[in-house]
Amino acid sequence: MNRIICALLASCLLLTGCVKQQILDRVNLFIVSAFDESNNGKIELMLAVPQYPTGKPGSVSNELLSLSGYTSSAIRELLSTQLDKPLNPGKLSVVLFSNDMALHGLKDELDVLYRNAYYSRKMLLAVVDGNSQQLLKAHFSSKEEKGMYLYTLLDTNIRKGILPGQNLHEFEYALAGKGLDPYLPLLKLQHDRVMISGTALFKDDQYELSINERQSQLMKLLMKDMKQGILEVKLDENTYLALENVGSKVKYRFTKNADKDTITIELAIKAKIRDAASLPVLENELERIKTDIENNIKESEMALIELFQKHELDPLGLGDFTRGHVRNWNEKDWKKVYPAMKIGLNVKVVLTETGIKN
Amino acid sequence: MIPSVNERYTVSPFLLFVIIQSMQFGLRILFMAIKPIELAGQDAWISVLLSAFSIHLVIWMMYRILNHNKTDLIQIHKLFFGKWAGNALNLFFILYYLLNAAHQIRYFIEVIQVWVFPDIETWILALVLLLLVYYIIAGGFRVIVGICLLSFVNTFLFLFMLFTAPYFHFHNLLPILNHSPGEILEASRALTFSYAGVEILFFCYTFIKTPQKSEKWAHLANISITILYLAEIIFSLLLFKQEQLSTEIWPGLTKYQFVQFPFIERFEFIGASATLFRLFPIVCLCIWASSRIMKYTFSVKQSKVLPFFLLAVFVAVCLIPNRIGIQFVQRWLENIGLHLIYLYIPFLFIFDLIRTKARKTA
Repeated sequence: MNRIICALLASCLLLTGCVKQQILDRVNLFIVSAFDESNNGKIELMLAVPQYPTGKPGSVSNELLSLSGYTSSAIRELLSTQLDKPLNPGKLSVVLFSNDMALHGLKDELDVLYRNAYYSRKMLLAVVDGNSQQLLKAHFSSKEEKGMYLYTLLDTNIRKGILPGQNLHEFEYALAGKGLDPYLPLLKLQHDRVMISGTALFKDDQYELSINERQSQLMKLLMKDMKQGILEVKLDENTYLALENVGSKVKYRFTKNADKDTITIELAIKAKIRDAASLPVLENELERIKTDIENNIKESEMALIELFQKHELDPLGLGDFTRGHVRNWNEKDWKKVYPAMKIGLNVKVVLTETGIKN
Repeated sequence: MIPSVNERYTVSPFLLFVIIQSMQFGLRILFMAIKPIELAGQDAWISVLLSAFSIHLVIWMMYRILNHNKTDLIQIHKLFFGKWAGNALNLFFILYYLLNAAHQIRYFIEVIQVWVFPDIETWILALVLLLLVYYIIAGGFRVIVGICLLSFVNTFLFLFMLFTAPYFHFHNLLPILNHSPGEILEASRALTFSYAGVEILFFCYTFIKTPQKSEKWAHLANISITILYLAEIIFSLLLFKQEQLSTEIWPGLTKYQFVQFPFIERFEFIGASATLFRLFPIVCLCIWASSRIMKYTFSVKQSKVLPFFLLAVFVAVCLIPNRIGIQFVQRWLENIGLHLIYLYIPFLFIFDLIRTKARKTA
C-alpha cells in the first residue's frame, strides 16, 4: 500500500507542468495605464508597454496602445490582440485619471483595482489636468521608460517629498472611512514636461476642488510630521524669506464645550533660515521675524482650512479625529456641524540656525 | 474495556501546546478579524479576551471530565450513555471532523485559486493534498504531531504584518467602549469559530504520556492563540477603516500585499502558499480523530477505514462548488462548534458531577 502511495506522490511532481506558465521574457508587463472619458458612457484606456529593442542594451521605448470600451478588463483583453506577447497586469504601479473622469467619480475603476489579487495596494494614483492620453503621448522622458519615470516622479515628490498624495490603499481608506475625504496629486503637462501642479481634493469619489503646490505643501504640514521642504514666507512688501523645515510636528487637540466642540491644531516647526534676501538677521531682530513668520504661516494655513470648510471637504480627517473623542459620533450630524465649526490653529516656529553668516 | 495506548506511541505533555495551537489556528486567521470588527468595531479586542477566558473555562472542564474518567471521549460516551446512544454521539463526532477537514481543504484551494493559480482544478489539488495527508496519518500520531510542530514555523510569517506599520492609524482604536455589552458579546460569539478546535483534547488525551500534567500546556496554547488573535484584530483595526474591512474577504492576505523586497515583488504569493502549513495539522488531526473514533466504535482497523474517509473528504471537497458553498458549510460548522463548546462540554461536565454524586450515595 505504502509503495503505491509513494508512486502516486512521486507522480504528482509531473503535475507542476500543468499550470499556465508565465515567463518574464514572454509577457508584456506595463507599469502605467491612463483612463479617459469617451463618449456615451465608454472609457478609453491607454497602456504604455515597455519595449526592449534587441541589440541595444539599456535602451527602452514605449509602445502606446489605446482602445475604448465599457470595462477596463475587456479593453485590456482587446489590446492584447495588438501585441505579440500576452499582457500581464502584475506590475501596474501608476494609474492616471483624466480630469473629466475624476469629476464623474472613480468608484467603478477603482473597484477593479481592489478586487483583483494581482494589483498591489501600494500602486500610486494621480489625476491629470486635461487629457491623460495626451500626457502619456508626450515625450517627457527620453532616458527612462514612461511608467518608471512617472512612478519615481510621484514617489520622490509625494511619498518622500513635500506634496500630499495617496496610494491605492490610502485612497480606499479615506474613501470608505467616514469623516475623511481622499485626495490625489494633480499632474499637468507643460511644454512636454510632466509636473505635479497641486492636489485634487475629492468629495466621496468625485473630484471637487484643486489647490496649488504651495497650498498642497501647507496641507501636508497639517497632516503629518515632516522633516523636509522649504517654506517661503512674505515679511514685508517685497521681502521674502526662505525657511528650511528641519522637523515639524503637528498635533490635533479636541476640546469639549457645552455648546460647541472645538478642534485646535498645534503646529510646531523647527526651521533654519536659508534665504534671507538681504535682510539683516540680527539677534534682536530675530524675535520679531519669528513672530512675523508664525503669523504669516498661520494666516495661509487658516485660509486653507476655511477653504476646506467652505467646500465641505475634509482631507485632514477632522471628522475621523472627532469620532475618536465623541461617543456615538455619526457622519450625518458631523456634516452639518463641520462647515461652521471653530478650528483653531497655533503655530510655533523655532529658528535653530541662521546660516553661516550673520 | 478501557484501552490504554502503548507508551511507545505517546508524546510528551508539552507537545499538547503544539497540537491545540495548530488545531485552533488554521486558515481562519485569514478572515477572523472581519466579523468581530463588524459587530464590535474598535472594541473587538475585548471580545477576544472574553472568548479566551471562556475557552479557558472550557479547557478546565474538559480536564475535570477526562482526569476523572482517565480515558478519552469515545469511551466516556459509551460509559455515560450506554452503547447505542454513545455510539451515535461518536458517529456525530466522526461526521463533524470529516466535514471540518473537507471545509479546510476546500478553503485552502479557494485561496490558491483566487490568489495564485486562477485556472487550477479543485480536484487535482485536493487529490495531491489528500495523498500527502494519507502519508502523514499512516505514519501514526507521533508523525502528525511532528507535522504540527513543523507548521509552527508559519507563525513567524506573522512578523511580516509589521510591514504595514507605516499605514497604521492609532486613533482608530478610539473611543474605547463605544459599543454596548450586547454587541461585544455578539462579537465574542462570532469569534468562537476561531477558537473551536480545543475539543481535539478529548481524543488525544490518552496519547499523552502523563495526561494529568498536560493541563498547563493546554492553557498556554490558548493564551498564545489569544495573543496572536489580539495582534491580528488590533493590526486590522489600525490598518483598515471598519467600513473598508467589511469589503475585504481575506484581510490576512491583503496585509501581505504591503510586503516588498528587492528580490520578491509580490510577497502575497508566498503568504498564500504558506497557509498550507496551517492546513495540514488541522486536516491530519481531524481525519486521524475520526478514524480513531471509528476504530473504537465499530471495531474496525484504523488503517482500513482511513482510505474510505479520505475518499469521502475528497468527494465532499469536489462537491463544494464555489464561495457560496464554502460559506454555507462554514455556517454549519460555526453553529456546531458553538454548541459543542458552550453547551455540550458544560453538559458533560455537569453530567459527570451528578453521575459521581449518584454513585457515591448509592
